[in-house]
Amino acid sequence: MEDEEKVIASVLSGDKDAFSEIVIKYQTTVYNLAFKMVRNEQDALDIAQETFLRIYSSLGSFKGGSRFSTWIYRITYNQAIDFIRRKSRAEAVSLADTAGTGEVLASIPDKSADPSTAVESKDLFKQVAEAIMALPDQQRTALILREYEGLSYKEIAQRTGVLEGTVKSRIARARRGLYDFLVKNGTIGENDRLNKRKEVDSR
Amino acid sequence: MKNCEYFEALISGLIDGEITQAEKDELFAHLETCENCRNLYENYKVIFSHTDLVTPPKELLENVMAQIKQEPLNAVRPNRRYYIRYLSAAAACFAAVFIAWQSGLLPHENSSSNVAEPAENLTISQDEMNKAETKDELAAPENYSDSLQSSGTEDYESDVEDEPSVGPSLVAGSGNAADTNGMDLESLGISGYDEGLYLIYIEDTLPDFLNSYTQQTLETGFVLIFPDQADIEKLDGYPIWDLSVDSSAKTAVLFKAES
Repeated sequence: MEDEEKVIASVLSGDKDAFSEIVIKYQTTVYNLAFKMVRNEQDALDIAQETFLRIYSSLGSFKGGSRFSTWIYRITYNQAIDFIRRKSRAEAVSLADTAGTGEVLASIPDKSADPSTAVESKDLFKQVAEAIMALPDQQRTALILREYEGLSYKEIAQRTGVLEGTVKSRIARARRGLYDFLVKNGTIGENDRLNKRKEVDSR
Repeated sequence: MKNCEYFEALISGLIDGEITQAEKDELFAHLETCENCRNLYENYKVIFSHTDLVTPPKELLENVMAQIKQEPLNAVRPNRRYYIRYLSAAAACFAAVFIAWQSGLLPHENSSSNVAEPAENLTISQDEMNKAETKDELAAPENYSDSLQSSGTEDYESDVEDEPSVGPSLVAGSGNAADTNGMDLESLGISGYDEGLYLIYIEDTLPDFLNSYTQQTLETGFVLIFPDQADIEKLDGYPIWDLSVDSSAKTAVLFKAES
């Protein structure tokens, strides 16, 4: 953490190259969070780029009161939401433009075999991403490192300075909290099985 | 007898490949007999699947660093005291969202009639925007806070957060038109405006849950909508917003449509 503060201070003092350390450290989380929300590599890249530029321009507002990783997660999430919204508006315009002429609506990319399910799946991951932000800080950090960075419990324990058993229980509690959130929000029914989504997502 | 909470932790560990064979055997024996845990396991496999974790392409780092090097150093972002200035400077190139709530702000009595009626007195001309920008450029940013405090009403300016309201930040102010350093609602052509709490936010899009409202597009490209109280309250917990919600007030959201 101390090193991270030094890097931030360097960037703020004008050393632009130092920002590469932040990108290298967080690009896996940023890119994977974006990818899970849009299910498209090019879009995820665009979002990740926008996110890091936003982080750069906002760095002066980070005062260290919360974890830097959480701060970055929020920015990524918001950038992804904005991107999705912009894109859906553009697609709606495209639909309106072509509907009257009877042209094929080829402007809407959709590579999945079952578009409706894919959209449903994207919504699910969007809601998961949103719900993560409502988790207690320690649970959130552990789950982000697991879900979006793919770290093992041991690596997470080293990164966060706690025992592996603690990581295990934090992640388990975080997942249960998220699950309850999705049930409460009606995203999934209490007795639902999400097998259909699974088939789409585990490509 | 171990309870389901114990097995939930094992399910989570199994998803991550972090349990022993003995624990796995124990878990699957339990799943044979417990439908709730079986459902949970199946759903966890979908929700928390990270088999699709991907490696970021190398151009991510390259593109970000290339772009940063081209830009002037602006890492020290204007804080909220600079907000109104920032709004003005950004108004020409960014869309703007104005959130205002107070019963005296809106020109009509109820929200449904507002949506239906022409918004002559809500029209914001480009000239007026320009005027507002000019005034704003002349104002020292620090004056904003001072003017808030001298308005004789409660200062609603939020504490500056570590976690940013993504996009330019949000500021809440309470007071009259003078508080906004020229970006008062009246100068933007919004009449029927009185003292009260208002918030201004720059963004090019709205949260999803506000998108379903009837939108009245004004001449200037600003759009007027009237969210329900429930959605106003949602803004309070929305990551990019930082609002204090007055449950007795009406709300107007004005935002400039994307160009």
